[in-house]
Amino acid sequence: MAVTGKLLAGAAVLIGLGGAYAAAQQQQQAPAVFTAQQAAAGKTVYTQQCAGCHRDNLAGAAEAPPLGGKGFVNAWGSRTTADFYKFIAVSMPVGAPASLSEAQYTNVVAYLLAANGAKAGAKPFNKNVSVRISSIATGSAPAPVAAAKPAASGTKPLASGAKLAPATNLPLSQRTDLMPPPFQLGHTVKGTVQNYTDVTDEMLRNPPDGDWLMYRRNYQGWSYSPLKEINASNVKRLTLKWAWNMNEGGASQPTPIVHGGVIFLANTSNTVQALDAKTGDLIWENRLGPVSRIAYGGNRSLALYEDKVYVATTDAKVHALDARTGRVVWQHMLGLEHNSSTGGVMVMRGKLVTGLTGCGSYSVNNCYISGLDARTGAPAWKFYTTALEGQPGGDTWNGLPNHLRGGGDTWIAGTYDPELNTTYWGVAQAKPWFRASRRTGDGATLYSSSTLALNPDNGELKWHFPHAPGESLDLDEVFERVLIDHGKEKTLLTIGKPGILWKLDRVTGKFIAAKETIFQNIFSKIDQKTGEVTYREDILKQKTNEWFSSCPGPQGGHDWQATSYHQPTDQLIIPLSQSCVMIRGLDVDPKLGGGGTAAQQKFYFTPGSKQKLGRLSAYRASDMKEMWTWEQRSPFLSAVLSTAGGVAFVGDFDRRFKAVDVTTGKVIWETRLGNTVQGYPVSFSLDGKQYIAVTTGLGGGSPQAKPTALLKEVHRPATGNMLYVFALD
Amino acid sequence: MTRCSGVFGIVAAMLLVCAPAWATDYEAQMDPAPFDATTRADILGSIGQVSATLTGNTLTVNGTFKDMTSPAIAASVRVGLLKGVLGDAIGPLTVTRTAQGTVSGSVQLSPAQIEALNREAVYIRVDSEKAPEGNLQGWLEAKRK
Repeated sequence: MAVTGKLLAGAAVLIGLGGAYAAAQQQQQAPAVFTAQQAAAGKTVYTQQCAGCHRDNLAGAAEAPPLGGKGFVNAWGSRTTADFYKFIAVSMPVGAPASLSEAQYTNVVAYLLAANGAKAGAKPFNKNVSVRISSIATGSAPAPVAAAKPAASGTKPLASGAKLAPATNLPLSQRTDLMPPPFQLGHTVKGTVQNYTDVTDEMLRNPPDGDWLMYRRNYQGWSYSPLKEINASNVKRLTLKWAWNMNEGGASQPTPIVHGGVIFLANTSNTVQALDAKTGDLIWENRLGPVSRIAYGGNRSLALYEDKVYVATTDAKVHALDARTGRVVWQHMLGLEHNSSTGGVMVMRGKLVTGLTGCGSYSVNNCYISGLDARTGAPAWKFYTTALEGQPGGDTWNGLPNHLRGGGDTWIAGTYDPELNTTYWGVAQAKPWFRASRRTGDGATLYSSSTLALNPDNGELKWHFPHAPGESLDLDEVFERVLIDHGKEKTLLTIGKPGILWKLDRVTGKFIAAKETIFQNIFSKIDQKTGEVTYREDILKQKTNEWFSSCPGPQGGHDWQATSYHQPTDQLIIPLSQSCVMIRGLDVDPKLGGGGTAAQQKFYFTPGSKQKLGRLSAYRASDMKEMWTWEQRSPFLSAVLSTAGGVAFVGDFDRRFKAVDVTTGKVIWETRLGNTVQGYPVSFSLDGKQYIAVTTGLGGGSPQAKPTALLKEVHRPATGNMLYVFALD
Repeated sequence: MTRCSGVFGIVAAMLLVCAPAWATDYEAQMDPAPFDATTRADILGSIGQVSATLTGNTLTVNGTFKDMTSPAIAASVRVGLLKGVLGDAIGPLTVTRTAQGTVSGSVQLSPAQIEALNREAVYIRVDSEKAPEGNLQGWLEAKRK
């Protein structure tokens, strides 16, 4: 037996060596389809245009798949270089597809092939060169390529000793003298908000009717304004009072925060502005930076408390600014350089609470929610949203070490019940998306895709409810937690990407009810007594590199475009989306810096939807009954605002901003804005007059990407981050 | 009289119960099959309609399609785990080899496939020269009367 075993082992070694030799031989014999100069030039383009999402180490992040290593070879090995070129040239960069030159795309392909082990040669690559990628690339980068210095510009290398041509001889696209001045950071506009009154705890608990002091206006997350000058009868008289261009670039999805006639507005590139709400005049501006490099990571909400305005930034800092002047009072670093904080900030009993994202990459810094002293910025507590080894819930990760417990991002700000002194947060999925990629088996991967109930004073966990244990298809349950009372019943309602509307007892965390809204085929069963979900059979048996159908896909039946609770009619008015994907999880290298989301997608329409991606529905909160619903071609990219005037406002991908009668769902007014209506509309009043403020914007993940892919007829401007303010004539 | 009525009632009830298996009508809108950036231009924009009748265990399909960017080359009846989930072919259909044309044919279904049809897990797929792994697809639903 022992001899046989040794023989077998020896044979296996020989076979292994033979395989390695054969692979090496294959690489030696593989054709060279690009030049080293192209690869070097491509590295420059990659760094400027691609690395913001796919990262400098090609590992990918958020919805950007890996472009190096196993993940890349799994995804692209069976396809050709021409396919790869075409894919990039028609769809990249995100937010500005097909905006680079053919030479730039060619060079990027050359760089990525080189970075995956393909050898350079004498023949330059062009878009018609079609070679199976696995025949030339192994997924391992040779050191010289990784260290190659980018060429100065273009595809032609400079001859030895040659000098750069004078600027006037350069192509127009490279004439820096013709480009707009660089974006200046700093406290760029100095001024003072007159008659500012400090925001008290009492004001946060019972907001003045005319203000919008926090993300969803009240701690309960209603997005409901008690103002009623604008109603179903007169809403047709709404007219634009003023508009304001905002920073371009990045992802713009803000909530205008309004206090005492001043709008505090988060722009991309982590810029905060104070505007006169009546005239649109800029009072102060602080461009905190860094400048947004990628079309992800919109800042969803500022917060006000006492004399400060708070912003959490795309580089994971919290800045406290003097609300009167915009001057920085304190700063605190929340995470590491790959992290960001985009979901918004809430202040509760003097504690600033905010989440963290960018947790997809394997890191020694697992994801958490932070509590800080709002006055000083001193850290008060952290709650880790990926349960760590040896801690409660830590045994739900299939034995993975802490640094491989990716995800658990909190990219939507929580809500708060002052009476229970409890803050409620949704947690995103574990990462990589597929359980087969991340090797978590059938573990629940707590606290991903769960609701958390925390004490805001100390971060102590009161209870948690796992909505989708071991979630595997980028269908997280991270969005708004809406707090609603019916008599003595204190409930929490939330809806995640699968489109299941959940109702929990917010005192105990006990499941009350679940209601399917849009068509879904992820769960074959939802236990109506416990809320336990049963995944479709093939999802449980998944392997990497296999395609799966998913309805909805990562656009979600519901996404960050938040619900409004219209209290007078006890209705949740919910923006919903309908689209499906084929999705496959890729292999990942289990090492620090690896991970990411590690998946590829193809898009298709939801069966039976008549190719309508958008749906607006109202559900009665007491019994979850659908009260009205309608569908349209474009999905909604704004949250819903409802008012005591019986009107709800919502905007869509195709630039339409609409007013809806809350009792019937009928559209009673609409106007066309400059670009996609994206962000969180709000209402405020000044001198007794009611205003509606709404933003248009670009950038974002699946809610932008899916309609961009599926709606062939919709063409939008390349810019258009903007604030619009409406009122009656 | 009473006995006759009883027998008649039983027969009528049996007919009602059995009727869906004899002749039930289905329909589907065929939408573009899954695409990515490299195949979007070849697939997106095409559309089709099919109706189907199940008589006994025979599913007969008739439909039309248009706005494909290349001629149809094949069509099939297919089944997945659930509605919206792609799966394997049950049987072939006939297509006109044009970018705008018709799809038709009959396929024998097993009891399990009939059960899948009734829970809307059966779909029609049309393939084309530029999209040989699926250009149009539509899940059959019982016609609403």
